[in-house]
Amino acid sequence: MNLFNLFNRRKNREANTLILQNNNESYWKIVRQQFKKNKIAVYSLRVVFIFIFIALFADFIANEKPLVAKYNGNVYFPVMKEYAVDLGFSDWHDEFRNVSWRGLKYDWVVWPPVPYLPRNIDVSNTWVGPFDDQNVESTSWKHWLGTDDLGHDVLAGMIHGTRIALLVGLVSMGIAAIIGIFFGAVAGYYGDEKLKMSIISILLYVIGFILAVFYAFGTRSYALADAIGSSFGSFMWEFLLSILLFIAIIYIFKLIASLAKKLPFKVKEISIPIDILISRLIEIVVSIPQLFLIISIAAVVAKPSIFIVMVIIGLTTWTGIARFTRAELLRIRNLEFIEAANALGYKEWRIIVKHALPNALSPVLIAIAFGIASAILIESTLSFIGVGVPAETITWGSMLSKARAVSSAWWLAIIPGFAIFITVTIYNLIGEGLTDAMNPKLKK
Amino acid sequence: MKLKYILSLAIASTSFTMLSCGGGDNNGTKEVNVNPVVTSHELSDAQMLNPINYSDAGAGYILSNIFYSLLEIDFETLELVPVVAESRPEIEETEDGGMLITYRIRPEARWDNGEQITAKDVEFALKVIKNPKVDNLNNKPYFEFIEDMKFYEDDPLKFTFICKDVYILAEVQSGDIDLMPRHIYDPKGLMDEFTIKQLAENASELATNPKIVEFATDFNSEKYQRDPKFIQGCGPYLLKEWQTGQKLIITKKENWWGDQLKGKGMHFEVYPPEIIYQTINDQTTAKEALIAGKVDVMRGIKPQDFQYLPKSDKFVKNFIAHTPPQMAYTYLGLNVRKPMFSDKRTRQALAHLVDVDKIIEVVVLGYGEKAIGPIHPAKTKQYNNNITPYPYNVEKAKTLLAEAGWKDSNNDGILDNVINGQKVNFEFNYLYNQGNDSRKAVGLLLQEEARKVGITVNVLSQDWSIFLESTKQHDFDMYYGAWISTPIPTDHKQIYHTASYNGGSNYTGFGNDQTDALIDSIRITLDDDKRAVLNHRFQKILHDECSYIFLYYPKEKIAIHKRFSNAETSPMRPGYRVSGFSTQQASAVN
Amino acid sequence: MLKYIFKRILIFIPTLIVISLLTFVISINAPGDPVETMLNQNVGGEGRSGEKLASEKTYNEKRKELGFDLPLFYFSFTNKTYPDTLYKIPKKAHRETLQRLSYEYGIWKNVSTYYQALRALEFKVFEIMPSDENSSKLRNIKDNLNSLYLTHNENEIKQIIETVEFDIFKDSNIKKTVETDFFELKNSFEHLIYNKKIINRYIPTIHIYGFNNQYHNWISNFIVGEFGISYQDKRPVSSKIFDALKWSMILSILSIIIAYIVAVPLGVKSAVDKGKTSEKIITTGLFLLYSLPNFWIATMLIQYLGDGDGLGWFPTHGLGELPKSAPYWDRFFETAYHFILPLFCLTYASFAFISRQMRGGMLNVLEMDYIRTARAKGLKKQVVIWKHAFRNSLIPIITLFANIFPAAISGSFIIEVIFSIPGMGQLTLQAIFQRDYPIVFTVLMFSSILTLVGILIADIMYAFVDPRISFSNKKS
Repeated sequence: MNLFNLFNRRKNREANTLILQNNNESYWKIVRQQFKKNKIAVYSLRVVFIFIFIALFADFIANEKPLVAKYNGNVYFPVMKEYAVDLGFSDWHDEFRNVSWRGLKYDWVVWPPVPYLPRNIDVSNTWVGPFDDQNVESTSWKHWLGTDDLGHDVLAGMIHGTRIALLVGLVSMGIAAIIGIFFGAVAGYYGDEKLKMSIISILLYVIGFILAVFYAFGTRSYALADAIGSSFGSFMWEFLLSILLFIAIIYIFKLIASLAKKLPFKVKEISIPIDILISRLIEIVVSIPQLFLIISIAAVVAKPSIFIVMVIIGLTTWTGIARFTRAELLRIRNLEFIEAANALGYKEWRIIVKHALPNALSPVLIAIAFGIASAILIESTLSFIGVGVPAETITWGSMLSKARAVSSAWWLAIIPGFAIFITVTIYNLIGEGLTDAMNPKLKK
Repeated sequence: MKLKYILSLAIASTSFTMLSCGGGDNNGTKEVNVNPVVTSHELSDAQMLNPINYSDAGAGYILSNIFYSLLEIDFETLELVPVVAESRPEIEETEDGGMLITYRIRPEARWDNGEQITAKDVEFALKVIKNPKVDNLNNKPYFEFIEDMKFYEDDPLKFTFICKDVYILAEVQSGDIDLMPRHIYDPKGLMDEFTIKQLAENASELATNPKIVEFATDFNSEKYQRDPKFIQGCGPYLLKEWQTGQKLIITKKENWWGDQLKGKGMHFEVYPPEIIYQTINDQTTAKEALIAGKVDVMRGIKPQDFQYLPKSDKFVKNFIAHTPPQMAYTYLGLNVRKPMFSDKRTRQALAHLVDVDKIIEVVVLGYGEKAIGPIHPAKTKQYNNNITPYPYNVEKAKTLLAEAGWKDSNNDGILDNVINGQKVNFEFNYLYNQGNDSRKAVGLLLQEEARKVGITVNVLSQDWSIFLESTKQHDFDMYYGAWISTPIPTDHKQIYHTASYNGGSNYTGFGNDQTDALIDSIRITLDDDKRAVLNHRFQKILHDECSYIFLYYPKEKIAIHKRFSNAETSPMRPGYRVSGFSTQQASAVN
Repeated sequence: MLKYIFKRILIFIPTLIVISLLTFVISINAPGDPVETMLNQNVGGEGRSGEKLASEKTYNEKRKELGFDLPLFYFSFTNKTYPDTLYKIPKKAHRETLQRLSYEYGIWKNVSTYYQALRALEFKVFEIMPSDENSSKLRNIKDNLNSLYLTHNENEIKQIIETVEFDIFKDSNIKKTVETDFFELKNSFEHLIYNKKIINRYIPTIHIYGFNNQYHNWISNFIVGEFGISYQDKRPVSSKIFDALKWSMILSILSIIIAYIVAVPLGVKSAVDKGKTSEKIITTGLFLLYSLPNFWIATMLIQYLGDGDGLGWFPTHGLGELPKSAPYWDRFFETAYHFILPLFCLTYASFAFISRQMRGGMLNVLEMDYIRTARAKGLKKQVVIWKHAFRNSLIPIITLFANIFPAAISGSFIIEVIFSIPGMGQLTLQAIFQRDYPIVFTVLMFSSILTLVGILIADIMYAFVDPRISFSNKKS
């Protein structure tokens, strides 16, 4: 909903960056300079980098395994080793297989700053707060930010939850951006009459589309269904295959269509109301409630995965981005430089990608900034309902939903709540910084 | 007494029992201490108040105040007691292996219009149950054993049920027929021409009979579910008002026939002039409403909340907390017919990995007792005291797993075994119903324990209807289940007999010829002592086979307002009898 | 103008058809068998209760009553392995297995023969009276046959058939009765696997089913206003929806009004004070609210402001405690009092983005030449700001207008549960979980129609507010 509102912000800025538009490089340079002037936005960007750092190195910051340890005379790097084992390069030594890492007698050992994984259960410390007495051996084992019902360490959960929080934004908005920009650009650029095709081509494309759906998804439906039942990775693989097949079939028909163009007799060309079609598609997607879709799809999936939730969020939120892109392109396509590019005989997709889209990016970027924030919030709501997110995955949202069960456990609410607040705020501030930077008229 | 719920998979206490809701109560707040009206909290609104067609437990509790049946269960003694019947029935075993159950109705029993309740009314209720078009598919099979009814010309109050088999639950079932006035439920007399015998034998042919269809269509319609004018029984209360999703109010009848029978059983001790069933969907909100005194009775309080309540001054001043045992048990069901779990030792190893003490301590905060089998310890005679639960013992589990052939042959940290010529990793799914946090916690605890010995457990949730279907189709490895029972003799057939594998509730695939024979003989042994011997043996086998890892017998967590000084709790669900709450003793004492 | 509206309304029709199809497809493909869910018989087996045949009969009757025994759609466009008469098979689980088998081996006719043989054998087995010596064997056979309905794996099927064979041949009595049927089954299966025709998977086929199909029945009932009966409690869908809708409507309309009353001034304020401390405080506060999930805020409010152990300022649940006989205004205020907390929880999150919108819009307006001119002319700052703020705020209001109706109809599940308000959110979600298709269909269709109407009204109102947008030159 908030994405859509941004649309209006652009209304009064029809001619703002006309001078810059022919020279993209210098335009971006200026944008960067403008952005750097905005202190708050720059700091926000730094916070994002800190989050990315935490997400990348979560295993080294919070882990049940030692970073380095000398055991029985040998020096080991268990955290590093785990990566190797997971990738299949290496095996655990017998003495390290299925052990309680805390129970081993080391010669010397360096633990990660937080010696817990989010999944580690500590039944002697359930529902303890940061300032409560904790039943731990020494301060290095203290649960600095408290625990939940099963004694899961909140700090470890926060650190590993950063990954999910970032990924939710990245994956879902990545998908939304790709779909949204594509449809928005096509609808906006071609409008209702710019895309002309001969009847034969249209016919060929329609048949091609139907056959592509049939072969890429219809006949492969079981392969896809089996894959979604086994794991997310295999599903993505099968899905990619389907997409490639789909594109290949469409391409074949495109070739046939271009051959048909060379036929000696003239066929009447008609314009395709692509804008109307895509606008209806957007209406349709908006009409189906997101929660309903997520619940229906989550029920089909044998093993719930946070990635599936991300994908669904992406598949349902692209409409906002598509609307902005469309609106921008409707404006841009009539500008002189596009017409010039047309006159020069550039290919249309090249004009769209190289010339039109870069000039439409600013509202899209803001939409994405807001979108990332709302995706994180949607995830927390889903955790609350208990749909779609696997039981052992600890996210900021799942911690918050536990806070509801016991009102005295304020730390389960304040800490993840604050993290979400920071995330939402910095994305918005960056988005704002970008708007201002891209809209030099406001800066003087 | 609503025994429809003799066995039902419990979904108790999920934070979302997805139902509508709302409202408040109209107690005069000033005189709260003497207000005889009881407000009872319900997590979800009743679906319908049709005594034959209802299928939710909440409706059952309300209906039990509007409709009375021949026999009910006494909440204190947990014995069957006569209510509309004059006494418990005479039971005769016939030569051809059947039973005759003879009742006589109390001469005092009356409909609201003053008419005497007779044997014909019992027949009518049974005919409705057996009407093939009436929408009570869950209920019908329980009454299939009654083949016919016999009436006595000299005594219109006396009748006999003719049953085809001997069965331990025959008395209980036959007494569990809610009586309905014919002039309300069948004003046209559509069911008059049919007999029990016809309905029992030719149900499928009668299904197209226009009169049967007309009656059933009317009976299944909305007015007999929600309209106060059309919901009437011989119980002490009448439906007064139903604000969908908010509250439901029943009021005491002024000249109820049972009032003259005070002292003849608890079902005639009826005090509150009005009972309000207040729907509050969210347990946390409901807890606040309880502390605020907006509801007088609440059950199924979450363990964490229940521990918090004594710390609240308002609560301590006004309420008393009760923890009666519940006639229920929770367990982890293993799919015995999956090759992975076909070895008994594997199953026992898993049982040793489940730390039940920890579960009781951490997940239910002590409101439960370690379980060993399906029979509740309250049934002292039938309960086998000689079984010790599997202790939590990782070493023992490892030994058993090694004996069963599970070892880590490829050094990946996960146990594997060769089953049917294929090498398989020891990885399985633990299934629970979505939104149930305590079941999730049990799964996560097991997951961590299993990881220590090299077993991968995936903790998965499914929404309720799919969860039910998965268990029914045996499409699971391990699931968390619970069964609820009543203080009547236990018939194990539905859950543990191999005949119940397809269509019944034997989801795990437990059982062999020996256990089947045992279950069959338990079903027909009416003598308590003889049955106890068989039951002990059955529990022993069940324990050894370990296709069910029994967890605990839960305790109910109830809060009741202090002004109802006579309020007592009971293992019988819902754990208390609202209609017996009285403020009179309280004022007498004070 | 009228022409434009008329054109847009015409376009609604195909859009709605597509939406109805989508809704239909999603619901039909949702896992779980609605008939099973409805019957939900926890009894069975061969005990006192229904024999297999009887339970199958109830299933089939229920299925017919609900209209699930019809083909799904007017036609099907699938590959050649797709069974054209699949809809005649009763159980959903069986249908899935058979469809899969047909896909694996390519020829539906063979699968059908196999299925018929399996059923014939099963009936024969059920006809045998169990006696002491054969009962366990019989049961094994029955269980194994039953699992054949659910598996499409060649090796598994082979194995099961072998086990069944073993069991059958151990008992001469059983053997005598079912032998021919068993070999029928075995042969049909072998015939099935040896006559693979995988190429069929890649041949597109169209089957025509005609008008007597599930979709047609449902959509034509919907058009004439018959929304059916809820599966859960047999109440008419329309009355259930009406009950729930009124609360959701009140809540969401009030929530949007309040959101604007609060957020628009805040947005204007933060635009005027751009860069000042007051703006930073407002922004931080709004983002803080935005990032706290409403389920948590709601709980905290109930706990600390509610009448339990809290301050007792607000009631915690429901819609009011007065009986229906109480005076209208008393009940009105009572309900309004109960609405305060839920309304706040529904609303506070939108403060942030509406005020951000407002701020953005304001900033644009303040830069405009005419505003500067107006200011230069000596008009009071307040007058300028508020006059133009109002006009400028109209566009976001209109945009949001499109969302009022769908928001009302889909309700807010979480707030409704926490505050025990019997609204649309609870109704819909419960219906989804219970596979209560009549309610799901109806709610989704209504919310789609209202979304479309909302979008249309918003588009028309844009034109009134902003003369630069017009319908005639929309194409350029």
